[in-house]
Amino acid sequence: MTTTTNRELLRIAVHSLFYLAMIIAIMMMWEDGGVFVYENF
Amino acid sequence: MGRWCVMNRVWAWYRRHYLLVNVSILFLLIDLALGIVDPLHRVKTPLDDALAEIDKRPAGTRSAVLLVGNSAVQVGVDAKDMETQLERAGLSVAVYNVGLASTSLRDIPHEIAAVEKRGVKVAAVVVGMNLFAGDVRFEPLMYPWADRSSPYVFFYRTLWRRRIARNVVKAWHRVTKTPEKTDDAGSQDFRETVFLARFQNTTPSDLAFSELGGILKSLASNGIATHVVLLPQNPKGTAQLAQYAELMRALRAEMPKDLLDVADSFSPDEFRDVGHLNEHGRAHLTDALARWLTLRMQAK
Repeated sequence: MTTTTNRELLRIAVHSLFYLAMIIAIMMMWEDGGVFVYENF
Repeated sequence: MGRWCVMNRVWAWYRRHYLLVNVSILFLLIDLALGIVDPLHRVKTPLDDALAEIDKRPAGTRSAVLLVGNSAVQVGVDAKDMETQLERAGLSVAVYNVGLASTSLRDIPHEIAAVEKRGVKVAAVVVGMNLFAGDVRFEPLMYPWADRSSPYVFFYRTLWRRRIARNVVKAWHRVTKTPEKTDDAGSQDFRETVFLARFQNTTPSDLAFSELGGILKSLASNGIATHVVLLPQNPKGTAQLAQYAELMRALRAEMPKDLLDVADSFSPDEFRDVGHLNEHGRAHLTDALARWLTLRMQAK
């Protein structure tokens, strides 16, 4: 454990958040079969 | 010494597979948090407006008549005016409009349940039907009864995208100080296009009108009287839809025989678009509905 540096922890955090954001973005952009949502009239 | 050895091995494993661990845990946590906070449903919906109206005009000891259906009911009938007209005919009931934008006939039981939850005694419902009401291919996601079956972000992706897009447009207009186009002005063409796009490849089997019978039956078994009205649609829009007559035939076939059918009896200048009435149309439909309902309720 002594070999872990702050730099490595930062790298782990940044990578994790980046891939999480990618997964969420892909989910959000996923084809929805043309669902049409009226919201307000 | 032994414990350090294990810890080192675990750490070494984690350093290799940190993405697998972190991303899944973070994803689960975020999904849990989103499900609890539910940011998409913190925005006011037509349901909130309908319930606020009930609080504003409480039924008291009277029982209530609910107008249920989609946005065509929501904008097409003036519940307060109708209540006055029924009162004048000697019928002391509260009338509430619970028509909710973008819902289909499958949402009708939820609309009624939402009102009953407020302690209102529902004696009768007026079910407003049109082509949109039978279209269950599109689920409204903004109401609390949407049954979420997948992660929050994925399930509500359409709603997210719409909200984001709308806020970007709003921000753009605020920054450039240009006025936003409102729904009323110049949008008739757009909504006619929406109507055509939605129904031009539709066959009667795509629409779930046959489910109305079951819904009416279950309401009747709960002691709620049901009245069905076939709502007006703009002839200017429906004339452009090749299979309009075929779809309407399928719709009428599934309706009870004693319905009020005003589907094709309003003129184009009473509409905002294909399915939504303007102020004139609203007054016209409210009067027609109140007269019809008075006769039916007095006959009982």
